[in-house]
This record gives sequence, C-alpha cells and structure tokens, in this order.
Amino acid sequence: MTKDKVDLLQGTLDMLILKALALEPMHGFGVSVRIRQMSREVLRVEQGSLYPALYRLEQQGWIRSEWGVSENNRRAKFYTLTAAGRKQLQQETENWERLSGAINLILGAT
Amino acid sequence: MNALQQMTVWLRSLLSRRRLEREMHEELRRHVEMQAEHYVREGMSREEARRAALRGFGGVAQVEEACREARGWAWIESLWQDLRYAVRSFRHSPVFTLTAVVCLGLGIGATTAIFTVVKGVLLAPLPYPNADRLVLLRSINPATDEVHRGISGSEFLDLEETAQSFGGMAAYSSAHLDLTGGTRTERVRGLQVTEGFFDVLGIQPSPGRGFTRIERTTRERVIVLGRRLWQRRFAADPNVIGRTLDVHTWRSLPDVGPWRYSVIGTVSSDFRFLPVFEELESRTLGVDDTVDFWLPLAVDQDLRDWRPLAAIARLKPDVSMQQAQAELDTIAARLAEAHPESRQWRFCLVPLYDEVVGPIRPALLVLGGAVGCLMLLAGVNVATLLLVRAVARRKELTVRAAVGAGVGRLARQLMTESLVLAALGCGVGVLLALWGVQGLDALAPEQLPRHENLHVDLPVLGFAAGLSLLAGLLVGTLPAWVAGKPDLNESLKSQGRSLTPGSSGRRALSWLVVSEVALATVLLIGAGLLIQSFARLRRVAPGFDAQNLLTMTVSLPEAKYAWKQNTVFCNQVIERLESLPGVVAVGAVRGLPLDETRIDVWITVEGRPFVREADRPVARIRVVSPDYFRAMGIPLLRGRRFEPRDGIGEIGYTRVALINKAMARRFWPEEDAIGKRFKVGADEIVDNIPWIEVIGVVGNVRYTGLDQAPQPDIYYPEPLFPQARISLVLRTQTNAGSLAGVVRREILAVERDALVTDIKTVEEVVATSLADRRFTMLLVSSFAAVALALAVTGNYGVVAYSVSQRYQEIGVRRALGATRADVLKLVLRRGLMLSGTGVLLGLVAALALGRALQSQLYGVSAMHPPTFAAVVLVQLAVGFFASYNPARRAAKIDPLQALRYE
Repeated sequence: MTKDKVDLLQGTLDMLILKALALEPMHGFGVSVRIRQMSREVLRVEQGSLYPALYRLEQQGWIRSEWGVSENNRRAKFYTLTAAGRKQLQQETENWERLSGAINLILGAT
Repeated sequence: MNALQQMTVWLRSLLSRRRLEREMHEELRRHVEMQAEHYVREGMSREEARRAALRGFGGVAQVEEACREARGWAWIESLWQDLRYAVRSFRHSPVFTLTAVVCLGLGIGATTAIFTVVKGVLLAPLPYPNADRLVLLRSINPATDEVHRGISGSEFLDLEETAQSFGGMAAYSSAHLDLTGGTRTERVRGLQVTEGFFDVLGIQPSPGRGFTRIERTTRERVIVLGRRLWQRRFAADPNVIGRTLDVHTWRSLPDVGPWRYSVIGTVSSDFRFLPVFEELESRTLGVDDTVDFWLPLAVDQDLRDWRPLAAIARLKPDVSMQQAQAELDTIAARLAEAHPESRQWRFCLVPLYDEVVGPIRPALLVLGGAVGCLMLLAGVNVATLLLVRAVARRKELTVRAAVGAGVGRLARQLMTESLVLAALGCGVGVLLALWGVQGLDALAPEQLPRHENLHVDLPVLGFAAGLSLLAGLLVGTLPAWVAGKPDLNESLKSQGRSLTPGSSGRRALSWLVVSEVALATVLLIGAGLLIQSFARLRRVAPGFDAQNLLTMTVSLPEAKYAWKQNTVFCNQVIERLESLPGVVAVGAVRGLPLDETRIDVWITVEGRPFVREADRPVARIRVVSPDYFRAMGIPLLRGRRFEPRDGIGEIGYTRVALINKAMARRFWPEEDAIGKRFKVGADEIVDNIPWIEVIGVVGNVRYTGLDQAPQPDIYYPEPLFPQARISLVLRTQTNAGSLAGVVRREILAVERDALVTDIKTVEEVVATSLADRRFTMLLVSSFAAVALALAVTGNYGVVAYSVSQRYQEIGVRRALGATRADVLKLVLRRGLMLSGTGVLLGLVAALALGRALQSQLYGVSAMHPPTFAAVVLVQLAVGFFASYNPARRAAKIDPLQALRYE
C-alpha cells in the first residue's frame, strides 16, 4: 500500500466528498474511509482538509447535516447530499471528464 | 443556494455559535474515537490505537480553526476577542479611560449640541411651501442707507399691478384683539393681511376660505381663525362658518366697539409667522409667533410718505432675486418720476430666510468654529494619551507579536480600543448634548429664532455617531501605526525614537499644550469677570423691595368705558384687593419697573433757563396711585405723599408732584427741592400751564435696568391720567405667586370684561431682565470649563509622553547620581514650563481682548487684577497636578532596568 499522499486540489476534494455521499448518508469518518476504499487506497484525505471542506460544502448548501446514531450506537453527525448538491456533483464530474480528457490527449500526443 | 439564503444560514450559524462549537468538538472527537477503534480492530492495543489516531489527526486546534474559517465567522470571533480584551485593559487603567472618555465626550457633546442648533435654525427649511422663493419688500434710501421695514399703501398697489416677477404678493401687519365672552377676556395676536397672503404662504383655510379682494375695501367684519382659537372658542366645530365672535377693541378703528365678526374660515394646523412681531406688547405677551386669527387689511392709497405696510411676495419659479430686484429698481425709477417728493426711496428685496435667521447666523457660525476647535483639541489630546499608552505597552505588544499575532492583528486591536473609547465618548457626548440643548433653549428663547426646532433627533444622533467614528479612527491611527511597525525589535533598539513622530512632532505637541492652556486662561478670565459682573448686578438695589411683590397688567375694554370712569374702576379694584387677607398694599402705575414704557418729557425748571438745546432738561413721568410707594417699598426721603387735598385741577394738569432723588440732585443740587417748581413742556408753549410744585422726594428706582443709572422721574397722582391699561403692584405678606388666582377673580368681579395679563412676581421680572447676561455668562463659563479640562489632559498627556521618551535618559541620570527628587523636579519643571508659557500667552491675549469684553461687564474692570491673579494661580496649580503623576512615575524608574532597556 503506497503511503504517498496525493495533494488534492480543494475543488477536487469537494467533488470526491459529494461523490462519496451520493450513495448514502455518512459521517465524516465514514467519508474518509469511503474515499480511501473507492480509490483503492491511493487517496487518503487529511482530517485537516476533510472537515473544513465538509463545513464549507454545508455552508454552500450542497450537503446537509443531522445528528444520528452510528454503527456503535454512538452519536455522530451524518451528512447527506441535497438535490442542489447532486446537480453540482454532476456538473463537476462533467467538467472533470472534459478536463482530464483534454490532458490525456495532450499527454498521449507525440 | 442563492446569496440571500446563504446569508440567512450564515447569520443563523452566527447566533448559535456556542452550540455549533460544542458540536464541532464532539464531531472531531468522534472521528478520533472511530479511527482508534479501527486500529484496535486491526490489532493495536487500546493505548497505541488512541495515540496513532490522534497523531494521524493532526493538530486539533488548527483543524478547528480551519473549520471556523470555513464557516465564515472567524473574523467575528477575533473582533469579539479584541473587544473583550479592550474592555478588560480599560478596566485596569480607569484613570486613563475616564480621562480619554471625558475628553472625547466633551468634544463630541459640544459639537453635537451646536450642530443641533445649526440644523434646527440654519439648515432646516422654513415651514412654508417654496420657502426659498419668499421675499420681503422693504424701502431703502440709497443716499442715506436708511432702511424702512415697510412700504406705503400706494407703492404696494403699484407693485401689485405692475410687477411681473412675483407669483403672489401680500401686505400684512400685526394686530391684537381683545375677545370677550367665553370664560374670560383674552387678548389674542394675529395678522391683518391682504387676500394674497394665504396663497403666498401656502395656507389653505379649511373649512371655509381666505379673503377676497373685495373685502379689502368694504370693511366687512370677517375673520379667519387659527387652530388654537378655533379650538378654544368653538371647540373645533366643523360648522363654525358663519358663527360670530365678539371683539371688543381693535387698534386702528376710529370708533368704539363692540364688534361682531363672522367667521369665514379656519386653518386646521398651527401657523407660525416667523418675521418677528415688533410690537411692544409682543414682548410682554411672550415670544410666540403662532397666529391666532387673520383679518382683512385695507390698503390706503393716499399717503406716499408713510410706510406702514410690511409686504411679502413669492418669486415666480423662473425668476432670480437679481432679476426681481432689477425690475423693482425700474419700477422705483418710474415712480420717482411720477412722484418726485418720494424719489429718494427705492425698494429692496430681503429673502425671508435672511430676515428670520440672519441676525443669529454669524454668532452661530462663530460658535460652530469655536466648538470645532474644541473637538480638534480633544481629539489630539486623546491621541496623545493613546500614544503614551501604546509606548508603555511595548513589551506586551512584542510578546504578542512573538507568539504569532500578525502585525495587522495588533494594529486592529489598537484601533478597536480607540473605537471603543470613541463609542463611550459618543454616549457621554450625546448626554451632554441633550443637556446642553435643553439649557440653550431655556436660557435664550429670545435670541434664538426657530427654537421650537431644536430636537436631538435621529439625524443629530447620526451626526454624533459619525463624528465619534471619525474621531475614533483618526485618533487610533497613530498608536495603530506605531504597533504595526514592521520590525518592532529594530525600532525598539533605536532608542524608541522611530516609534514616534520625532522631535518636530514633540515640539508640535508642546505648542499644542501651550495653546490649550492659553485658551483656557483667556476663557477662565472671561468667565470670572462675567460671573463677578453678574453677581454685582444682582446685588444692585433696585430702589424698591422686590420681595413678595406681585405685578400684573389690567386692561379695560376701551369701548366699554369712557376713560374718565377708569379711575373709578381703578379705585374699586384697589379697595377690593387691599381688603384681601395677605395683601399689605396695592399700587397702580403705568409702566412697571425694569420693564420699559416711559413717557419722556421736556421740563422747564423755574429759575433755571437752559443755554443749549442739548441741555434741555428731560425727565420721565409716571402716573401712580397714592399707595404706590408703600406697595413698592420706595422710601420717602423728604416731604410728604399725595393727599386728598391735592385737588385735581382740570384733567391733565396737576399742581403737585413727587420727584425722585436723581431729579432733585440734578436740578436743585445744593438746595432742598421741596417747594420748588417746574413745568412740563418745552419753553415756548408752556406759558399758560400752571407751575407744578414739588411736595416730596422719593428714593431712586432703576426702572430701565439694573445696570442703568437712575434717571429723573416725576410722579403724578393717578386720577389725573386715567389709563386704559395699568399695572398693579401688590405687596403680600408671603409668597406672592400664590395669590395670583384670587387677585384675578377679584378684579374680574369688579369688571367682567377686564383683561388681566402677565401676572408675575417682580422677582421673575428682575430675572428676565438679567436673562441675556446670564446666558452669556453661562456660555462662556461652559466653554471655560471644557477648555480647562482639555488643557489638563493635554498637559498630562504630553508630560507623560515626554517621560516615556526619556526613559533611558532618566536611567542614565539616576545611575550617575541623580536622586528620585531630582528626577521629580526635572519632570515637574517641564510640565510647569508648559503651563507657565501658556498662562503667559493667555494673560497677554486676555489683556488685549479686555476692551471688547468691557461693554458686557458691570462694575468690574476688564483688567480686574484679583481675577487675573486667581486664574493664574489656578492654572499653575492645575498644571502642577497634571504633571505630578508622570513625574512620580518617572522618579520611580529603576535605573538598572532603564539602562538594560536597549
């Protein structure tokens, strides 16, 4: 398992968080686990970036939070994707694909 | 989410900050726990797992800070912190805080008070529609620069017809009516106007109407009521049109009433006509420009040289003042040709605003300037104090910088502190302004036109807040700049000199204090002189006993009584009043002391012809009832009082009179005046008039003012000149004012339609006559007090500042052998030098300005040495105390610490 930390741009991190929450509501710890899992252990999100990002996303209205009970019967804050957030996710995904496609083209050219 | 929704969320999160903080803690803690459990599941021990989790998490504080910033209210948090810190540090130095707040409060308060006055009097538009288009028409003789208040009837008619510049024109003149019926006879004030008046001033009588042109000439008895009168007499009956009002006297009518007037309209709101009524009566009836009624004004065509009509006009919207004046000049030239006898007169236009506000404007501007200077001085004082404080907090600031506070943060902290001071100063200032405006209103109602407009309202508060903000920002700039210096270490090393404005700045500060002290000195001397002058004036014996003396004016309806009967009325009233319990004596006179009207006459003294016209003897006549002198408490110095045997000759001629000491001394200085004779009238026509014999001499009474020397007075026995309007004086045993109601009842019992007005105690009359002086005295004293406070704080600030500058130098001196006492003396000397120079300059200025003040002073010279000496001592003492604290602290400087401070 590589321990390289990949520096994620803020916008990219936001997109990944939204994606992680697209499937089901989750608490912060769960989001970081999910992102690690989904990226096959490549991407580890630092808590120093994760929580501020979560708060920012909530401020902007793309995710919503509420207190619930975690799997260990403990209180935890769960985040859910809102309708606006879903739309934002779709838009960002499209942008990313366009951007990465372009870069791939350049890198693939001789 | 749009901007508004975001803002709401932000606001809501702001308000529930504490709860959100707690939740954030809990959330992050939960994360660490879950991570730890994850490690435990992977096989670590509990302890290891927790440590690994914490490590992996990173710095909790930083994460929390980042979260807070993401939330968007980090800056509010730090602002709140700044505020709390500022308040705490102020609590630790109460003297400094109090001084700074008081300084700012005085400056802001004075400025706000004067602003209130300026706003209400100068800036507020006159309460008439299109008030800036309203002009008054005056007559002016360009050759002699004589200005007449009015124009003649024919001139008015000419202008009405031919002048094109005006959208409307009207003539007006003030009028009084005595209204009988109702609960009592009352005198009301109003205007006689031509029909254009309502239009020009934008009054709409409703219900009813104004006048028409016809009513000018038909002398029909119609009247338009003002709101107050309508309320009082008709209970605001909407069907008042056609109802009538009984009017008992009216000035310019030749015949005798009563008249019945029918109401043709009313005005539903109070209308104030601001060009001041110049009638004598208006002064005694109180300063109230509300119009109670309107009557039609007849305009006389005939006399061109008599100019009784005041005229007001509204300029057409597209006509300027110059154009209108030019047109008037043309018309005047044409009239001059047609009527050469009045050719030297022209018309001139005076904007209504200038007329109402003009006299007071220069004084207000001077006050505004003075107060602005005070504000400036107060601001500089506080800046100095803050600078001293900033320099003293060097250590604290360096520590904060070392721990990680950015330079901007420190500067913000200091600026916050000065803004907090400014806010406190604003509060104090607003209170002072409220109090000051109330004082101004109470003390100077006559000098201040439109004083009903003085309110401390929202715009004024806004001004105060804005001024405080500005003051806080400006005043805080200096210390904030000092703190924000990029390299504190470096600047501290260079002997603290670069922390400060430098030696030229220091000199500027010194001169500032010197000028503050000089200003305070001048003002204190002025105040001292005025106070003494006022006190002396109050102690002047008026010549009668002013205690327990009640006065009032009684008028009889002219129409009802043939004037001969007035004496009967007078005697009846006096009898009735004298029989009241508590009344010692009653007298009647035309003309009250200290109040005004007099009849000046030329007299011819038997055996003393005069040489030059200018020496022709003059005296004043007062017509009194027999008991007048006893009631007033005027002593009889020689001879006897009037007795019944002093028979009345034909009405208008008396054979005996009483005179006062001044007259006796003037005309018969070496001899006994009793038995001497004189005649009233100019030499040439008095031959047929019998001589008047002096039968007694009474003491002098200062009738025209406490500060005027007594003039020759002649007293006639009352029955000779029955008056329609007399003043009664009652001496009572105790509290004069309490008998007012009873006395009025008794008078009305004798004559139902009598008009009793102006019931006052003589003490009130005396106080009113001194009102102007009292006002000046209080105004100057207030300024003096403020200037003194500023001088003290300025002195303190600058001395403290110079001590902080010379910190090391003092250490060196001590190390070289100077004692604490030496240091104390050193600092004190500096402080006293500042005060001393200021006092000296102030003395010179006071001597120079003394002449200007002399006219205001009574019985005190403008160079009164004891006052000067007292002020000098006070200033020096005050300067001493101001410097004492910094001097003491300087003496306590530990030389080792000072030297080590490199």
